[in-house]
Amino acid sequence: MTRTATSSRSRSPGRYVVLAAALCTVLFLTLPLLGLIGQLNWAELGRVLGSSVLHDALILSLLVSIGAVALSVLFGTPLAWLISRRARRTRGLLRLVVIIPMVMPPVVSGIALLSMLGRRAPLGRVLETLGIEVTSNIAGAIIAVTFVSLPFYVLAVEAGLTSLDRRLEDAAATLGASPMRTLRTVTLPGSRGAIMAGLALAWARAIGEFGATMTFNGNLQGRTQTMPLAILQTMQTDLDAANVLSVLLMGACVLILVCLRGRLFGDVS
Amino acid sequence: MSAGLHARLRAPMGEGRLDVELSVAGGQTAVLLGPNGAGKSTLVRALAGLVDIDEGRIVLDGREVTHAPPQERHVAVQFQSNLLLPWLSVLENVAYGRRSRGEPASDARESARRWLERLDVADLAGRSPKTLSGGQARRVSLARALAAGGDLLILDEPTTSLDIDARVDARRVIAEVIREVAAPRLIVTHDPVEALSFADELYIMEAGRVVQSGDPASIRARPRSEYAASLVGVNLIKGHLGRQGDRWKVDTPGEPLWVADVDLPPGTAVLARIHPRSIILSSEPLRTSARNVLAGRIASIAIDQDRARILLATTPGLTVEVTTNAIASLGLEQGLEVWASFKATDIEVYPR
Amino acid sequence: MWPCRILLLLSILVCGCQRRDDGALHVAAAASLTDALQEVAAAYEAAGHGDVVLEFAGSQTIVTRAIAGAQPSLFILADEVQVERLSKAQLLAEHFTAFSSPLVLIVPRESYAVTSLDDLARPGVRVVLGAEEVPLGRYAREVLRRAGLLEAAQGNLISEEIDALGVLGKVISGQADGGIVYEVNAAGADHRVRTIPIPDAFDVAPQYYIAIPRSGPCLEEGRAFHTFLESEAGRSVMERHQFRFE
Repeated sequence: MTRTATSSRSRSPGRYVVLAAALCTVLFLTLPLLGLIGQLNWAELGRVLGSSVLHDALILSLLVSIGAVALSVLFGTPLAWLISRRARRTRGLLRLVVIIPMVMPPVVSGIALLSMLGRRAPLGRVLETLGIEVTSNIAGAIIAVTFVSLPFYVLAVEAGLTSLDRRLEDAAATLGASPMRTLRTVTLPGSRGAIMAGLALAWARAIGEFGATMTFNGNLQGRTQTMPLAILQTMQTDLDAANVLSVLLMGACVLILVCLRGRLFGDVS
Repeated sequence: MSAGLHARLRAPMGEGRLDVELSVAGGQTAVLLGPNGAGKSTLVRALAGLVDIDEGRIVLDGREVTHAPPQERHVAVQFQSNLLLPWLSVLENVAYGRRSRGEPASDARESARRWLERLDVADLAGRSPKTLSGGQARRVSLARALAAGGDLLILDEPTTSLDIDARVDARRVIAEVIREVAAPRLIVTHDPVEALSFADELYIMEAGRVVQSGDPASIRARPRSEYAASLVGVNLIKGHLGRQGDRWKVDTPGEPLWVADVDLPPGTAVLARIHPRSIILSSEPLRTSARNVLAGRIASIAIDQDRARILLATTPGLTVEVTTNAIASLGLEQGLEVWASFKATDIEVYPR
Repeated sequence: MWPCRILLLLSILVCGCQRRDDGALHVAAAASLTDALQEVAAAYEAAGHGDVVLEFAGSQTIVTRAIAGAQPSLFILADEVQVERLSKAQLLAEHFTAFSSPLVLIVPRESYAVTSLDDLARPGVRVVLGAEEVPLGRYAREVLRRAGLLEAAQGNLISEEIDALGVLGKVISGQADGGIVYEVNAAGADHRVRTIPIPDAFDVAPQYYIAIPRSGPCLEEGRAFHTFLESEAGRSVMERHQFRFE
C-alpha cells in the first residue's frame, strides 16, 4: 500500500521539480557562507583570536542576545497567550502591533526607540532624573535587540498557542487543575515546539542585529559594541579581519545551536 | 434538595437553544440518548462548566455550581475523544486529577495504578498515550475520570469509537466499574442499545430538548416520538381515537387502525404502537382473525443475521420483522406488493 | 512550463544588469559629496558634456568594489589610505588632491554642555566621534590630539560611528553632547544641530582626492569631469557646499 504510493509519487515529474528547487535553495543558502569561509585569511585568524575587540564583542553579543531572549520570553509569552485567546478582530490588531517592528528597517526602529527612551525623549528624561541610564550601555543594547527580536518570538509562540487543542485545557480543568496548573502542565508543554522555534528565531535575530543597536545605543568597544558592530567597524579598514570575525560569529552560533539541538530542536513528541 | 445532580440548563446551542432539566440521584445512571446535533455535547460542556449557561441552575450534591469554573465543580468527564495529555505517561494522566487537587504525587500515582489495574490496563502505565490503540485509550481515559472522582461522573459516547467486538467488552467493563461509583453517573450516547443497557433513567433528546424521559421499560412500552420509537424498534403511528358502532379505531392520514377497547374518549389524540414482530406478512390477502389488513409495496429490506426488517410503503408506513427464511419462501423483494395483517389486541394505544 | 518562464525571467534580469551605464561617465565618490556633486554633474551635463552616472558610498566601500572588479571612470575619495589601496592593487593611473572640507564641532540645539572644543574633555560630557577606522574618526582624533584633548575626550566617548551621519544622528538626538563632523555634513543637517568652528590652529582640513584609474571605460570623460570640477563653474558649486580649494 505505502510502497505503491511512494513509487508512483517518485515517478511523477513534479517530484524532480520540487527536488531541484529544494537543492537550489540549499545551495543558495550555503554557497555564500562557504565563500566567506573560502576567503578566510588563516594568517589573520591568530591575530583576530587574540584581539580584545573579538573578546569584548563576543561576550557582549552573548550577554545581549541572551538578555534579549530572556526578556522576549518574560514579556512575549503573556502577549502571545493573550493574542491567541482574543476574538479575531482584537487578535488581528494585536498581531499588527507585533508585526510592524518586524517590517521596519532596524535603523528606523533605533530612531523610534530614541524618540521614547533617548536622553531628550520624555521617558528617557524621566529615567535620567531617576539616575537610570538605558542608552549607551549594555541595557540599551538589550533594549534595542529585544525590540527587534521579540516580535519573532511572539509570532511563533502565538501560532503554536492558537493551534493547540484547547479541549486539552478543558480536560485539565475538569480534572481540577487551576488555571495556573493548566498553563504549566497543558498550555506550555503543548506549545513547546512553537516556543523552541520562537526562541531560536528570536535568538538568531538578536545575535545578528546591528541597525537598531547602532542607532539607539551606539558603538563602543567593551561597552556597547556587539559582534555585528565590531564586524562593521573592522570592515572599514580590514576586510580580512572582518571576514575572520564573521566566520567566528557564525561558528559560535552553530556551536551553540548544536549544543542545544537535542534540547531545542529534538522531536517534540 | 437531596444529594445528586439537579440541573435546569438553558444555553445557546448552534442555531437553536439547549433547554433541559434533569435529576440524577447518587449511585444512579442516567443516559442521555439523542441523535447528533441534539445538544448532548453542549449539555456535557455546560455541566462540566466549559460553557456558561445563560439561564438555569446546576446543583451538585447540595452545592450550587451554576457559574463555578470547571476546576471547582468536581465533575469528572470521560471525553469522547479521550483528550489524554500526550506529553504525560498513561500513569501521570490518570494521576493528574488527584495531583491537581493537591494530593501528594505518590498517593495520586498509587490510586492511578489501582484504577488502571481495575480496568485491566496496568501494563500500559509507562506508555505514552500516543502509542495506545483506540480501545486502550478509552480505558485509560475512563480510568482517569474514575481516579479523579467527584460529585458527578460523565461518560461521553463511551463505546462509539470502538469496533463491534470491543464495544461489547467495553460495555461489560463500564457496567461493572461504574457500579462502584457513589456519585450520580451520566452517560451520553446516540446508541440505543448502549442507552438501554446502562440506564436507570433514560432521557431522549432532540433539538436541544428532552422529548421523553423515564425508565427504559416504560419508554420501550410507550415511546412518545417517532425517534424514540425507532430507537426502541417499534412502529409508532399518530392518530385520533374514533368509534364505529362498538368498535374502536385510530384514524390516521391513511387507513384507520382497528384497535381493542380503550378507556379514553373518542377524539383523543393518541399514539398507536405496534411491534414489528406482531405483524404478519403475506403475498396475497389472507382471511384471518386479524382485523387490520394493509396492502402496500416493499420499500426496503434490511437483513441483520437471521432476522430482516422490512419497510412497507403502506399508509401509514409500517416496519415488519420476519425471519430470513420467510424472505426466501415468500420470494420477498423490493417493489413486491404484499399484505400486512395484525390483530387489534397487538396495538397499544395511549394518549399523545 | 513554468521552469521556462523562470529561465526567461532570469535572462531578462541578467541582460538588465549588463545594460547598465553603457557609454556614460561613471563617477564613484565619497558619500559626503552627494549633494555637491549632484549639482556639479547637473551643471556638467547642462554645459553640453555627456551624461554622468554618480555612485556614492564610503571611500572604503568604493575601493573594495573596485578591487572586486567594478570599473568607475573616476574616483573622488575622502581618504588617502584608500587611494593607496587603489595604487597597491595596480588600479591607479594618477591622483590629485582636489579640495578640502574643514571639520566642525557640532552640539545639539538648545544644549550648552559643550560650547567649545575644550568641553569635549570635561568629565561627564558625552562625546561621539567617527571610528578610528574611518577618515572622519582619524581626522577628529588628530584635531583633539593637536588641542591636547585626545585622551580626556576619548574617555568621554559614548559611541564610535562608521560615518558622519552616525555622528550627526547621535548629536541630533541628544544622545551625545558634542561630536566632530565635516562642515559639509553640518550644513546638510540644517538647523538640527548648532555648529561651532574649530580653531584654525587645530584644524586638519581633510583632503579629498581625485583618482584616475589605469584602465576602464570612459577614461577621457573622467578627466573631462575632473577638469570641469576644477573650473570656475565647478569650484563655485563646491564652495557653496562648504568645500575649500587651495
